Amino acid sequence: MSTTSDLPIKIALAGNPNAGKTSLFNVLTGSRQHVGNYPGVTVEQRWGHYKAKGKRVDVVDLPGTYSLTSFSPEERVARDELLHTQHDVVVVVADSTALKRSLMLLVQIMQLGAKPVLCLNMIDEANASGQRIDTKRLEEELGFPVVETIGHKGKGRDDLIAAVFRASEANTVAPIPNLGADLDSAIETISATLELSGTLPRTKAWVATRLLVGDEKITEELAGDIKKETVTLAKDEAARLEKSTDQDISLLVTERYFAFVDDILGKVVTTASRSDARASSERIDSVLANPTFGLPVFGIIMLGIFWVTFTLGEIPMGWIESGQGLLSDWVSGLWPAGSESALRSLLVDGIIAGVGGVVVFLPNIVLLFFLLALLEDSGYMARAAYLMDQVMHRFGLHGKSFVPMMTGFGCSIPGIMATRTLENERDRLTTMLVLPLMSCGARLPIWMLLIPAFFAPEWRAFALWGIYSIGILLAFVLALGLRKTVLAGEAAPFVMELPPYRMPTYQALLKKITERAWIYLRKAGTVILAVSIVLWVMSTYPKKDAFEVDAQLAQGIEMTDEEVDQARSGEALRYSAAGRLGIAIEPLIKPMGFDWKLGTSMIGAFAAKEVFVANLGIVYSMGETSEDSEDLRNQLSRDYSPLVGFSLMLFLLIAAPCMATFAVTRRESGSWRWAFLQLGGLTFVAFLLSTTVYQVGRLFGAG
Amino acid sequence: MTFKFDLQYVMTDSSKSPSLQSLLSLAPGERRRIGEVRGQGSIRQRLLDMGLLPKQFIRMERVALGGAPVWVELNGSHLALRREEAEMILVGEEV
Repeated sequence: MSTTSDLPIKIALAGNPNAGKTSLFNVLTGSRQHVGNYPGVTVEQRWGHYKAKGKRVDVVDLPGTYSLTSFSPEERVARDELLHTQHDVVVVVADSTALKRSLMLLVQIMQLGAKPVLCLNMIDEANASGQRIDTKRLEEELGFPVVETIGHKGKGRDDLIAAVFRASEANTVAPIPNLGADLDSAIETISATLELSGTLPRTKAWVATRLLVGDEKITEELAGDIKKETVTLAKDEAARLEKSTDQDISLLVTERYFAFVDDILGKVVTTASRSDARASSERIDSVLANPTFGLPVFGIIMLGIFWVTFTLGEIPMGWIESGQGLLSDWVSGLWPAGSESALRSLLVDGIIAGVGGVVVFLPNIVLLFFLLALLEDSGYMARAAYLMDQVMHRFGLHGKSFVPMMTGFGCSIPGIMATRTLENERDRLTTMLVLPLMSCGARLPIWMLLIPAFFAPEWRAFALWGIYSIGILLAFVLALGLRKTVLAGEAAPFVMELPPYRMPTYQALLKKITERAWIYLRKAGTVILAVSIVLWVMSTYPKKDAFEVDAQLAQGIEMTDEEVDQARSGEALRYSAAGRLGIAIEPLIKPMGFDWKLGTSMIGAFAAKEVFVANLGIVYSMGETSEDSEDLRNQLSRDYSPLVGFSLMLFLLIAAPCMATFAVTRRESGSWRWAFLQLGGLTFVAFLLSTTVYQVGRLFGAG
Repeated sequence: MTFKFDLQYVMTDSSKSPSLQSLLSLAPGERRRIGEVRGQGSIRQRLLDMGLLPKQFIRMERVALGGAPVWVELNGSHLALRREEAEMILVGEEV
């Protein structure tokens, strides 16, 4: 019997963090998915769909949770969705190597009156550790479909799809789990007084349990449906149970969930051999998570990543640069030689130079993202968080802050969004506010341009490592400052899973890299394109008619043609809107050693950090025929001392995060106050540090 | 590898449950049953939800330099706990 009509089947994926829910979601929906936000909260939601047997199945991927209490935003979202939306099927994704814990969530979902499918994910790892799970028997015990999958290898898709159909066609919901006669009767007594409206009656057992443990959120959420007498009754029942069992009610309920799971697993799981699947993980961890060597090894790994990003990235960069040169020559060739066409200038000096200056760093971005994704997918990130927690904690951060901060090396925006994994609001805000100090991928082009201009070849990798380290150190210091002042208060619990090392699959890596590379290129095609045009206009108009250099020539001063050209373009830029704005802010940036050219380029950096490079290219291309980075570097090292170069790098590292970061901080923190604090605070610190470095450096005769 | 036995901590706890000691007092490789999970509210509930329940076996895997965070094994999964959370978990005598 089919579930009537052409309506799509609605299913939800629920499960613990790290259970492999997202890879299973990808396996099911492929590229037919999109990401968004739950309204009003800062939790990400993924939707998608697939077609099977001519039916459309809509899938929602719930945030990963261990439970359906209401302590974190993720839990609140998951429980809201499961409570208020009537899904045809709820797929519970379990980590087969940690079945007991995974199934605790399943018990709660059974209480919610859902039609579940249990998905034993990563079954290969459980088998490798010597565990045999009798899936058939488990299905009989539970009374709904159970399937085996290996999400990250894409195995078990057909079984899962078939199980979803079987479950959706079932006439009844999951049986209410048995939690012991005393608790069951208390739940029943409370349920009997509940008069839930709409689709909610199916959730009675769960709502009654929540009332029993004194969950105040549920009383608020279902205010209209829950009578005062019911709340009082629940309180009495809880007191009675606590007295008869000599246990507090929340421990009692959790223990009974656990006992239910334990009882079933006792019948279906056999430990064949005691082979330790983690043996190889253990060997790796004896070095990587070693109390003494772990941190130095971590430092070396990070240094290695930056070294590879820098050296290996140079090769494809060369190809892109020559391609850009060819394109630029070809476009120029469309006009007769010596043409003063504004369109030619817009295309070559504005768009190709601006966008090209950003696209050229795509290889570096891809390499960095690839290496970070490798750390993440292999499981090393969790070790890094474990190793870092003590240090992080000392500075008022959390071991878990570390992952968003690492993500911040790619881009501050996903980094700030990743702070959602932090349960405590203060931990989260602290991490979010200092996160732009993690030198993001958009700033990499800046370092790639400036470091070779001011540092000898043998010092370049070290300089790059140094600028990243300064950002990290400063983030810690400022985090501590925040925790001592505006964000003082208790720290959040630190309970983190350390999954075994896994070989990352190339599909997952490819998906991550292409996703991020695409975001970078799209930014180049939109924001940076627009800003390039605006800046070209600003640096071209108003046009100057009479040049001072011509007057000097007329007076008989000897100059080469090249010198005359450069003098003219210099005057033209100074006369333009951008030049005037740069000159206007020069007194402000002078203490840091910057002139109006750098000031002009920095204005656009607020739109997106990498625009600085594009702008500098435009500012200088006015006097040059080639936009090649090598020439720009030569220009820079001729015009500025290494001290100014360093002061500039410091300022660009710390000052005003980009527009998008500002906007996302506003959204994620829920208030303008934090966004402005971040913007103003960081700019102020940047000004202070760059000025100090430049002035002290000059005192010692550098630059 | 030996781990400093925190006598003061054990004595404070012995006032209520004489045979229980802090999880922090275990050396790497030691395996015990959980006796009690202290604390309250969201932190305690999180520990319970992750399966840190009385009567479960817990094994100390690693102790970071300085005594915390600790790395424990429980029902086949590996967890890291900070000093504050580890102190909430009391374990029984040797089994």
